[in-house]
Amino acid sequence: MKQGVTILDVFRVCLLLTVALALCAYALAERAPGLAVAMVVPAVAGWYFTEWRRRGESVEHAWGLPRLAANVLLLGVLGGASLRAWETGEFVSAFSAFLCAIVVLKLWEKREASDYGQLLTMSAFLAVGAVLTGTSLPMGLALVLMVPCLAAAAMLFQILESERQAGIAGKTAWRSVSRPFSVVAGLSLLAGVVVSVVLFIVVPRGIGQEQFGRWGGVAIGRTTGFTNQVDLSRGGLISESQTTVMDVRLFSEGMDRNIGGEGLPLHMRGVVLSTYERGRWHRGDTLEIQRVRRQSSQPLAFDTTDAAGNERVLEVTPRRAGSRSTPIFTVNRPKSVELIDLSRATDVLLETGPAVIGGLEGGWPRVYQVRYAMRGASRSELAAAMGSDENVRREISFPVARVRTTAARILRDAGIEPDPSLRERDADAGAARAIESYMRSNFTYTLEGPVAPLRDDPTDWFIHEGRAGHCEHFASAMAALCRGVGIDSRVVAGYLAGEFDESTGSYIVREADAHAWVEAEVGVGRWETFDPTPPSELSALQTAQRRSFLTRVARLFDAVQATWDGSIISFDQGARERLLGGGSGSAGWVDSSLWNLATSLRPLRERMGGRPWWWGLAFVSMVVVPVTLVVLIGRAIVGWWQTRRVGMAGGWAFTPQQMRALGLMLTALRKRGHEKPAWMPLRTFAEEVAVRDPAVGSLAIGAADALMEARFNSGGAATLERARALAAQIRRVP
Amino acid sequence: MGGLAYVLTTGVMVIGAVNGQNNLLFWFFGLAVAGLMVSGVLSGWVFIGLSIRRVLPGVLQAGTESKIEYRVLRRGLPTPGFGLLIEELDVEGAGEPRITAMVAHMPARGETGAFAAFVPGRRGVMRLRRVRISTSFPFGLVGKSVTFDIPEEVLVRPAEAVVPRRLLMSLGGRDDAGAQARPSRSGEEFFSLREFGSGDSLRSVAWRATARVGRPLVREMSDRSSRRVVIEPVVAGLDGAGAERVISVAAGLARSASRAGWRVGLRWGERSVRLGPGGSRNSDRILEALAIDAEVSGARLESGDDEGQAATRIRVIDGRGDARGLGSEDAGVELPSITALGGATSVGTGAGSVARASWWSLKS
Repeated sequence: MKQGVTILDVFRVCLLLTVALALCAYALAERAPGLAVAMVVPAVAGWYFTEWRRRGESVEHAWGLPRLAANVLLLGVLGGASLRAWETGEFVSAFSAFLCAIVVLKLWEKREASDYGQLLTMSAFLAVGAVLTGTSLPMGLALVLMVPCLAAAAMLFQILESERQAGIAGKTAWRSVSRPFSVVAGLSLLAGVVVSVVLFIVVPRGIGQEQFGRWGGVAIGRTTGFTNQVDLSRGGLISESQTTVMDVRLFSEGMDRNIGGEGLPLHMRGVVLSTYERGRWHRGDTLEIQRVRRQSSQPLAFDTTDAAGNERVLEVTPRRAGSRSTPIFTVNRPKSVELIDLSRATDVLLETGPAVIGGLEGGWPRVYQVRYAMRGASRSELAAAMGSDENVRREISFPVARVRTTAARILRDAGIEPDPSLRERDADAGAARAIESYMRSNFTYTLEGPVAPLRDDPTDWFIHEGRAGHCEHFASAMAALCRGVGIDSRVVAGYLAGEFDESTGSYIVREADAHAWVEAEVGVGRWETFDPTPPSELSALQTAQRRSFLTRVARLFDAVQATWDGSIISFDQGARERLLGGGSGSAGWVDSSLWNLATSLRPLRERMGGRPWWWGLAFVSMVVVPVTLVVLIGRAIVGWWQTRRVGMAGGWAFTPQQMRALGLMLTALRKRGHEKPAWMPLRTFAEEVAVRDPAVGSLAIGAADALMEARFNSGGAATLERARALAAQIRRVP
Repeated sequence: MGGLAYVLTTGVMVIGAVNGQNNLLFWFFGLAVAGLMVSGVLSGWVFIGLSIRRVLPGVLQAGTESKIEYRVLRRGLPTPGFGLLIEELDVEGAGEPRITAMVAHMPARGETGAFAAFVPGRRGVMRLRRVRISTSFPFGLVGKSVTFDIPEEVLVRPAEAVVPRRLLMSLGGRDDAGAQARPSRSGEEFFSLREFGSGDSLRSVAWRATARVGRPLVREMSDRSSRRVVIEPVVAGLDGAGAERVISVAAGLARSASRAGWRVGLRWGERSVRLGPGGSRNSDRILEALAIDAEVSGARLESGDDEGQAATRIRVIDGRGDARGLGSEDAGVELPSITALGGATSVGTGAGSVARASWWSLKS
């Protein structure tokens, strides 16, 4: 007789879809579609031979690779994965590849019922591995498809487990549950989506970032706009978002003339990154920051040596009010800043180091004005100010020898002495320009950031192998080459404002205008701006980007891509606050509390700076200890309540199970009119009941004895069960 | 354990998401939390307003598949349940079989049923006390259960060994007068088939048998038997499984003899059954008597029970009062395997086959 479709059959299909989509998601996260085919085809074949062709047979008797052979192969896979992790340091990637191999192997293996659960668990972990590896839209689509399959498979697996325990494995017809199951699964999925979306939005961003190094971050495929660091090792896409970040107007010194205009792009520096660590430029840990609280519009002067006179005033109107902190954007180094129309107290952060940058924390003004000098101080002024000979140079270098060699070759080709000890200080500006020129003419600009192999220095790899990248690559490479020939240099991250609105006389700065360039010290304390990114290509790309944006909206995929990148991948605190309404209400209170907590913990973290795992342990303890306390207090309250309920004096330290049995017994006796006084020992009470009510006397004494045995004589579960049974019998006695 | 691992993984996930500011990991964290919530709600709500009723079958027999029906009624929240496992807890007697059933789908409001198939391993009173309904639906993170106290008892008859006809005939080969049974045209009971011969009435032709073998056969009848036999199992000195085997053969004998129309009695201590007419009613009485252990003095009835020598385990007293013992040579008696093992099991795991008993034979 032909067997109809069973729950097991439907589960098998869901299992295959889950596994195949998990494998695809991981392969797409690795940007290797070929890998997806290479894994999915054997997985489907294994499933077909071990599952589909064996329909109607007992799961345990299905055909497949013997356990011994599977275990031998497993050992081989484990060895390969360990070797890969050892060589590349890509633990997530190696572990995910290992999971892929196990999943495929398990689909060929002779199977037991528990293997289904393992396959589902591994698929879920594989999805997490994909999330830790990449952020591409195809991967996201694979995950979006996988989640319902996984949920359905997990639900069906529970029914199959019940079937198995009832001794009717694989017997239940799908028809008997299909309709209600579909409804419940659909509603569960809907609830899951709602809950996950709510949590996705309400969880504050930016708090606790990188407390444990880079763990949990995405290995590749990050989408970056303006950030306070440049990290080439993580690759990714430059944000193409056209969201307006700020409006900027440029005034002459006396604020009497708007001097901005089309064709006069402004390099608006936000942060200066002077410390390099293997592909990552950051601000360094030794900055001295002065914090000044401002509650009204008063100018605040920066400590600079720039020349007086010939100043400009930049008026910045931020569009992303509500974020916790922001740099003070300016052109050149700021001389002073004035916050206008403050809604609440704001801290101005002044970095007193050579970078001369500032930041705002706590709240944004509606507008701020920054005054800066067009020209830096003269050489003699600087030398006098800094108390050093203008020809004396600090020893500057770059750690990668190949970069130093290339930098020297560039200068030799330009006819400039590469050895800093032999080169005149005046020639440094020419040397930097030569490197800038070399960068502009020998490299290709692209919005997609190539990813260097983990074992290579990303900047070195870009200069010598990749040779294509976005502004961060160019800036990093030029700064490295300058340092390679003894010229101190640093990467500056900010915006390149070029879109000028004639009607308002202001520059419109968008997220896509995020840019990185270089400042090089071409004399003592004299930092000049260099932009190694090819201006024509950058301009063409930015223009094409704007022109094509509207057309892309019309195309479905591009729209989804933009939504995916803009709404999901690069969702940050600013986006969150815009969505929730500017940090007000309960969400704002929670955010503030968390920020305050993080701020108060900062000194502790800084003290443990060199020992991130200690800090991690402390961080986890701060979560675990309160949770444990809450649980203990909760248990104590429940115990107290139960003690009150059963009328038992304290000090007995019954377990909850014993307490429940006691409660059952005393409740049954209470219903018969025997209330136990709190002071009376249980056995005595049971004996009194035996005298007053012989029908239940022996039962009460037996239950009391069993409880005593369970409590004081390690009676175990059987004794406790006996006590419960006797208590139940008391209840049934008429 | 699975739920704890899930919670720990979720915790690690949120720490990773916060640390790496990985938005997709935040999304996964949200899904994980949603899974917990949905799991708690679905598995918890299904028990609200739930009640269960046990419907016991009229007859249970050791070594034979039996079914208990459970009627589950629900008048709770409008969320259906799936994969509800029904288990009997604290089963006493009958080899303490594991009795489980499953409700694949429990409607939000209404009644549904499920059958638990099992094979009682031993005769006796089976005491059922508590029924637990549990589920780990939807994701296996939280296992929830509810237990109902429903004490009931049911009698399990002993397993019936299949006794060969020749053994039965040799036991009671004589009637009350000691005459051998012989065929007769006017008899009321079927005796045998033979080939059609001259003088045979056409009314005596067995048409079906004739069609089957392709040549004419006639039925031979015999006079109604008035044979009688008293069966006395001897279980003294036996372990549990051995005693079960003896009682199983006694039950098989009683059933076969009753079916053959004999008057059958049982000597079984205070639960002895007097000679009764042939038929299932009398044999049922005998089997029910055999279901319960009686105070019998096996040693008194024992003969030839020396160590190393085949023991007489069933004493058969025929109509003339002659007692015979049954010994240990192979006589083709087939015992239900489950009885031979002395255990019990749920149906669906391969039980139900029969094993040939080699210890059993007739010794006259």
